[in-house]
Amino acid sequence: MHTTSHSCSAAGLSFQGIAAKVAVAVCAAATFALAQPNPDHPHGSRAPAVHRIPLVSYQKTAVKGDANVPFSVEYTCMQCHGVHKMRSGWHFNAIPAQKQAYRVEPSGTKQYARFTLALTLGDQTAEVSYTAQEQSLKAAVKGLVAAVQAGQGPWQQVVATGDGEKVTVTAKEPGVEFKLVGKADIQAPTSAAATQAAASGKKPNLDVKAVSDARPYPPSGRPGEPWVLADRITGTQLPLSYRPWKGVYSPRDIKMTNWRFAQRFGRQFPGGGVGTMDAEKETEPDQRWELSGKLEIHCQACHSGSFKENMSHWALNVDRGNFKWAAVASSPFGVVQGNVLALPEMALPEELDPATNKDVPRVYYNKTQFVSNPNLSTEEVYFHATNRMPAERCYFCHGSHDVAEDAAPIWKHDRDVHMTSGLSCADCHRNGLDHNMVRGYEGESDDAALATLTCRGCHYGEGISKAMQGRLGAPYPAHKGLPTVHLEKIACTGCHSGPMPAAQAQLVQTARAHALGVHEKHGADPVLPLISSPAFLKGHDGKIAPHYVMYPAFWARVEGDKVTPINPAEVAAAGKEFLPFAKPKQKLQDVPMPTSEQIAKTMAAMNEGRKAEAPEVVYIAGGKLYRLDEKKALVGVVHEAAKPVSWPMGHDVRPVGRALGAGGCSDCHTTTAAIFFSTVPTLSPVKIEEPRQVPMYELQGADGTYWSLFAQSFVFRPMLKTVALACSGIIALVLLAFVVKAVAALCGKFAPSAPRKD
Amino acid sequence: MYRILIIVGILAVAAVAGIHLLTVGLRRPRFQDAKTVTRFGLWQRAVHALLAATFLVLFLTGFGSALSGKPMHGYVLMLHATCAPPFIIALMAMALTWAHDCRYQQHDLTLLQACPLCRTEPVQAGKFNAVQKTFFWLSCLLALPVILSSVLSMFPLAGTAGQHLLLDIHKFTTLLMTVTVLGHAYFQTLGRPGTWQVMTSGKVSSQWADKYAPLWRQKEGA
Repeated sequence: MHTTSHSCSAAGLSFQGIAAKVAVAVCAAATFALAQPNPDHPHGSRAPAVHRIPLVSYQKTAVKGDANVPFSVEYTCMQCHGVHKMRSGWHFNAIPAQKQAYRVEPSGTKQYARFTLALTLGDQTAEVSYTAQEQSLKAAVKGLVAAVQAGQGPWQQVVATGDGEKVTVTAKEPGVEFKLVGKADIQAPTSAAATQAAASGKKPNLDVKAVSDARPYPPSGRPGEPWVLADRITGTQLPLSYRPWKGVYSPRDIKMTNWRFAQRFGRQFPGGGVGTMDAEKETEPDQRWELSGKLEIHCQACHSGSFKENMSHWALNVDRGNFKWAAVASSPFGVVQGNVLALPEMALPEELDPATNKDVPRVYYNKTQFVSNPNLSTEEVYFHATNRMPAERCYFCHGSHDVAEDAAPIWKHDRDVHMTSGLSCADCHRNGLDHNMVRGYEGESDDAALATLTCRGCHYGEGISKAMQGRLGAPYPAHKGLPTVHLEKIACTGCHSGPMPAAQAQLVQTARAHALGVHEKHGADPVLPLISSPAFLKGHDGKIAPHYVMYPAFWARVEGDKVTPINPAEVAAAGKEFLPFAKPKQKLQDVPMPTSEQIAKTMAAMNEGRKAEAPEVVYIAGGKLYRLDEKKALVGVVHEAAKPVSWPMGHDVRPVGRALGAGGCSDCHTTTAAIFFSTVPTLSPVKIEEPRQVPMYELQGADGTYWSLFAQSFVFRPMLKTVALACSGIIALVLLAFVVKAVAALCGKFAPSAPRKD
Repeated sequence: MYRILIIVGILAVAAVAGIHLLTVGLRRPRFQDAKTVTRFGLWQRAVHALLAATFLVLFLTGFGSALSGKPMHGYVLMLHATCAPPFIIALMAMALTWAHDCRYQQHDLTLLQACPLCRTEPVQAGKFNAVQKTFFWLSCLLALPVILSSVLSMFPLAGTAGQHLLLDIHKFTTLLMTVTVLGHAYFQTLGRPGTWQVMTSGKVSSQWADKYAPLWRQKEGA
């Protein structure tokens, strides 16, 4: 035994290592065998699949109860499920898959041309390049086609063909779209080659034509809730998203690395996406991928049916940079100790010893959760995994609550009427294995089975699939007395969703913006961002719907019409003499926000020595863009970049009796009706001016005078009805009287044609 | 579809009117005599003026929106809704004012049995001839669905399908009424010279009355 062990060690493999690998291999094979047919393909059984499975580490070894390494969710779940297929799902696809450029470097000194195809995915552009030594378009196209086909990036499922004049790219899978923009970029290569090219007089004029309009991931669609970067010290509440929605900025605009984004906001997303992208390529100092590991897709974040799955611990560990330990921390199996962010900045993983450094993350598994399986020579744990997720799992990231002073406590609120009817979120927000979730807005899908998973689809079915009407037991709306124009101008949510509107939109906190449900609200400000709701705005389809609204507040550089936000860290550094600062161990909500004077001084410092043509540093807040006048005082102007950012509120759906309009026309057609005349305050972290109360009609781009006049006309509506009915009655009586006379005349004789004597 | 019907309806009226104008209307005499008789009193002129003015607004706002392909909204909708009540009142007043004079008489059969639009020779007619009476009764008859389809939609009676039905009824009956009114407008202006003055002064020349309303003239003379 000893000899064997020794020889294995000499070969770089320990006996335990081999045993573990064999165990995992056997276990994986057995699992696959038992799981046939593949669980990713419906096998017809409606019974829940019981998940008592072995944990697999990042090194693809079995994890037992006495281990102190984290298990990898992806490797553990990948034993049976195609996790790679899920990566394009809605929760993970905000940022496209890893970008990669393909370039054939020139050889020799001949003139060359570099041909580039830009693959555009939302606001992300990746390039495929081919450098041809000769100015042959055919050769260039051929090279490009080869480059695209060999690609490992988001376009890997692309079949490219080139006929010498254009490149056509189509997706293998139906429904996968791709936008490909072609361009030929003739490089000025080395000076020697450029000289030679100039001497030869050959100037290639090539144009690789584009091509198809498609993208590999679903379009960004209707705007959703952005992430909000809140920073008290600089008075920032900046909406961020990798999706190109109106009014939001890309994290790249403020030079925020993927790692920092994942650390900041990963608390309330289920891993994957930005948490796994570019991990190897990101070289900025503001990243710690080597120590943190990747923030993998955390299946149990959504699929756990157990309330022992503690996403608050996930959030805590993401906030600490313990990415690859976060899933263990949230599971019922283990506890994590350590804090990657507290480790020395230049530390390397191999230099860190958990025995001597308590900040090195370490796992303590709950051994009682591990069951030995002698058949597989390994230990297993029970995952309470379900594909019928309870709504409470969704609520961790999707939810809101009122924080107005006079707001009713949560226990006085009613739940969404669909919930009280027994539905759960996933009944409508469904997805297949690719996890491209049905978001549930009209126009999202052409597939009747999915398109009817909207308000109108389920309840009406009309225009989509009449056969699907009444899906999930949806009652057919009576809408008695409601002119149909309302259905064309107002979204269903306009009358049925959100809290009952008041005279002014109320301050709310959302789960993602304020880290609701997270113990001690790690990394999140309980006050900022200042979000109001409900605001009745026109949605992406032009229909009025309740929205959340936030007036962005951020520092920016302005050059012409271009506004580029500045990372708050840069502002804080530049204005450290003027801006407030956080004291050690001070609670976030106690950190003061800057005054307008501090903003002005910081702005002056940041613009000091600025040349006329250089970008100007400004501060945007409360619906205005502020810059300094000659006296160094802040002057606010209305600016496009200061406009509020909004996202629709789909829930909570109120029952019919509490819908707007249930009380009659006056619910909306009075001069004080919330849908047109309630207001949204232009809230700002910094009090430079008193917030303006912006009426809804202004936010809708509507004419307030018209809506006021229209509302006043409803005073006469009862009179109109009475008069119209009375007039109709009189006309009917006249008709009846003369018909009777005519019939009498026809029955007897015609009335005399001579003038009447009477 | 509805837009096409509007265009077809209006073009059909224009075509019939054009043919009539060329074959009959232009050959009809222009009466120049100074002697006039009062045909419409102040009340009748007021009712007629109100009807004409409100109809014009409703016609332009309603069919303008329909032809644009968008639902009526904004100030156009407000104007349409504001002009509807006086139009309804004017319709009722019209029914009460002229129903008695628009009773069909035996002599109306003469005109109705022939081609009423093609006749140029004098006909036996009271205050109104058979064609005018037909326009009147058609207007009264169509007024009911036009009004009720609009008013009933304001009561919590019809659901979405019912609202669609009411709207369709409103659209198609207003189109029919419009065709009727446009026909009436033609025949009382270009189609029969000397008639339109009743809208303003309420008077027509005695020659006109002798030719087009001989029985009424006899009665008035008596």
